[in-house]
Amino acid sequence: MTETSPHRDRALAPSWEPRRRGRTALDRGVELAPLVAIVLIAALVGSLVWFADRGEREETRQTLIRDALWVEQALRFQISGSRESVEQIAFDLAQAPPRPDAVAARLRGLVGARPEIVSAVWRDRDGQVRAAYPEETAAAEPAEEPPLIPGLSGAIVGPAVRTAQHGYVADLRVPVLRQGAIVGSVLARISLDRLLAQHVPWWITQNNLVALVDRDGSELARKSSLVPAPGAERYTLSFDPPLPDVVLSITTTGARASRTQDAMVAAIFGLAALAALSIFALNRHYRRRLEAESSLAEAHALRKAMEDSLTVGMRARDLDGRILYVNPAFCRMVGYRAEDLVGRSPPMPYWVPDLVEETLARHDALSGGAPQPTSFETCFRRPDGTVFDVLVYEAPLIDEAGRHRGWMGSIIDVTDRKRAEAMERLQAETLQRTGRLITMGEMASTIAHELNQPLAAIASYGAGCLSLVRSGAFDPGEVTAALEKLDLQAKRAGQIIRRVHDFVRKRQPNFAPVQVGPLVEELAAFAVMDARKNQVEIDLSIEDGLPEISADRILIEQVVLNLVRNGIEAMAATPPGRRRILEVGVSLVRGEGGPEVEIRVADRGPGIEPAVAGRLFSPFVTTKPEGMGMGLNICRSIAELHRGRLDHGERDGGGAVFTVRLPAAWADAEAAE
Amino acid sequence: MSAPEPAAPGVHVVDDDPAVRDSLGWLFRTRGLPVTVWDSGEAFLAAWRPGWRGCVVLDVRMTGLSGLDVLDRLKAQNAAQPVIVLTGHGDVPIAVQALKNGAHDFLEKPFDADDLVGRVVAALELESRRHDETRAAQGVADRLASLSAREQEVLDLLLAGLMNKQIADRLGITMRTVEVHRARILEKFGVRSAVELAHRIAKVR
Repeated sequence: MTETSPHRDRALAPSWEPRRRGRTALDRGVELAPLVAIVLIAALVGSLVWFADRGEREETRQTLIRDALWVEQALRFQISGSRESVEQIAFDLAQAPPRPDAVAARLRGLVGARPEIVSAVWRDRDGQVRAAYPEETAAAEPAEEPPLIPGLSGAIVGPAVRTAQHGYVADLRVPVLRQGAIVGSVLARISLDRLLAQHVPWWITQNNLVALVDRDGSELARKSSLVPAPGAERYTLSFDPPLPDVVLSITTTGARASRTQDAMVAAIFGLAALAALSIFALNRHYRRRLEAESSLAEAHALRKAMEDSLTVGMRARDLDGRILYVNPAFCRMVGYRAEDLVGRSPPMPYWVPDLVEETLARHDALSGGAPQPTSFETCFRRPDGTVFDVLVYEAPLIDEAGRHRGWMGSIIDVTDRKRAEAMERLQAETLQRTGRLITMGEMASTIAHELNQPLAAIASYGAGCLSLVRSGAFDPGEVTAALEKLDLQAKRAGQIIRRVHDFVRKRQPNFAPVQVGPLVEELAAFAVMDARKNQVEIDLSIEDGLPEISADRILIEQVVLNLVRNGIEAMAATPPGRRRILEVGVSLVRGEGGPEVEIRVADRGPGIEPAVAGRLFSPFVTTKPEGMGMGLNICRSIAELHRGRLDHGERDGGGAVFTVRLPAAWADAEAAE
Repeated sequence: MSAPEPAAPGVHVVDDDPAVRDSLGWLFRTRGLPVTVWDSGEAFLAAWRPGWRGCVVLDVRMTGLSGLDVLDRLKAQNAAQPVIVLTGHGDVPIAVQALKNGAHDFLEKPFDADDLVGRVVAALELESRRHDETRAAQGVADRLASLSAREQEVLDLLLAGLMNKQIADRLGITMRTVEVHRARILEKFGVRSAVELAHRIAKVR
């Protein structure tokens, strides 16, 4: 029953083979029934018409026959009247020979009284014309006159003959008998045309063609304005006598009734055809509708399937926030059935109670605002109380007429994603912490080493002093000197601890006005011990009248100390012949944004290898076997924190130069604030 | 840096940290131990001679040559002096490495000064004993070298525990000749009996 979809090649079709409703016998029956009814009605009407037509024809024929008989009667009557008139004249002529002019008068009277008689002639025994009306008739007389039969006193009618003047005529001849002998004759010429014209009444000819024909069927005379339809009803009567070999033919000319009937029949069949046609058209239309309906059902089924298969929750709301539609994904997501949700107004059951205010506020904003698509993140709650994160995209719901009817929301459950993100963040943090721990470990190791030195020295001085003192015989000066050294080393250890403490402690940069000159001076003094160890001299030059900068003192100290120690270490491998001088200078320079304080640390080390120069400030890049590669990176970060810069370059005559520039103008602005 | 007395047993402190160096020097001097300080491994190795006595206290973490480098070079030159390595706190792998490479002992910083002195003293004693043994062994070797070929043969058979008669038979010489050789050998080693001789030589071989 399944038909191949006619929409197979349409957009939806290829993978979607929908369930289609086939056409059933009932459908066909429904389609055919009106057609059958129309055919039946047409047949019925047709047969009715046919019966009516037959009756009418019968009637027509009856009428025709009646008319024919009537016409025959009338014509016979007329002709017999004419005959009697002519016989009267002949009788009168037989009684006493009249004067010809009197006879002519009588003939004129005859012609005048009898319209069908076109001329009359009185002849004598020899056939000479004694009187005629009209007179000229006597001259031209081509007619074949009927012979006079001796002994017969009645009129004899001759055959119909065609004349130029009067069409077909028939001559009526009456012998004038005087004591049984023929003494002359009276001849009246009857025009057949006139006979019909004068004696067939209009109401006959209205519907009929009345004609006189000879035996051969050729028409002699007729009376009708109408031409009869071929096959029309015709009735013939012999008109012999009075006219020899003449037949009266009367043909119905197809009356108005018949034509109306035809028109009616035509109309009925036309209407039936129209009805059939319209039913056919209706069927076609119906079939198309059916197809459209089926494809609509398909499309609807597909849309439903798509909606049901969506993993994204869909929710349509009207402008008041009442839910118009939710898809299964949304129901699954929030754990409510569609019936429970559709038609509900806010607050919704899936709203998180704590967030109701916020959600309502957003809802109101959405209702009042322009129909713009928006998206936001929020939480929903299932009936079992579990709360999950969702990402909501709200788009205005615009109907076909372009009116804003509500809001269409797509809701995505982002709990997993959020969890993944949180996990990732946690991992990153762990990694960072691990990294920090490693760094801390490295630092701790470095610090331990640094601390070990003074501690070892302290322990040694202490133990030495103790043993001297215990021995009882000692030089107090010697012990004092050792104790002084011990004290110095204890201070050194303390400084290391303080430095570490300051450096490690997580703290917000504490900006305060800082005099860079004294700061550098102090640090240089601190670094002297390191410098001396490496046989490095520190050449300090600090300009007078430097402005204060706004800086975190400890951070800047770290930068300077780091650069100084780098410089010292860089010169460790410098050949003994060359002087190991580390230049540390502080000066005021003109920067792009105003005056800047520049700290310059220049060594005479091997300089920076071009391979390393490009990524010198990157973390974990180092030229030192035990270095971590964090120092310069941190230094640059600190410089940038102070809106300054850390640069490096080659020093003239060998070595590297590091410069830190810190804006002084910024300090003023900061102070003004 | 005073010029060291090559043969004098004493402590050689090698440390690049001036404070540590100075304090250790002071400590050992207060305990009556002769001490020499060196500010780098390079300086120490440059001055070092094979016959030096005493022990070496070596800091592992130094700029330039590290303590382990210095140790390796000393061992490469068959230095007999015990080396005490000072490591940073927790530098156990380095300590292990140092012991494997022939260090006598190691000490973690921060150390107890008396403990260090005690170990240094122990090392010095060890060095002294080793020095004596080395010297004794050297004497035996010198004497063995001074024996004639025949005396050498007689000594070998003597140490194998043969009687004079048997030695004479084995070597195809008269017993009298064996006795003369034996007397000369005992004389050269400065011992009175063959047992004493065997004991002396066994120490060396």
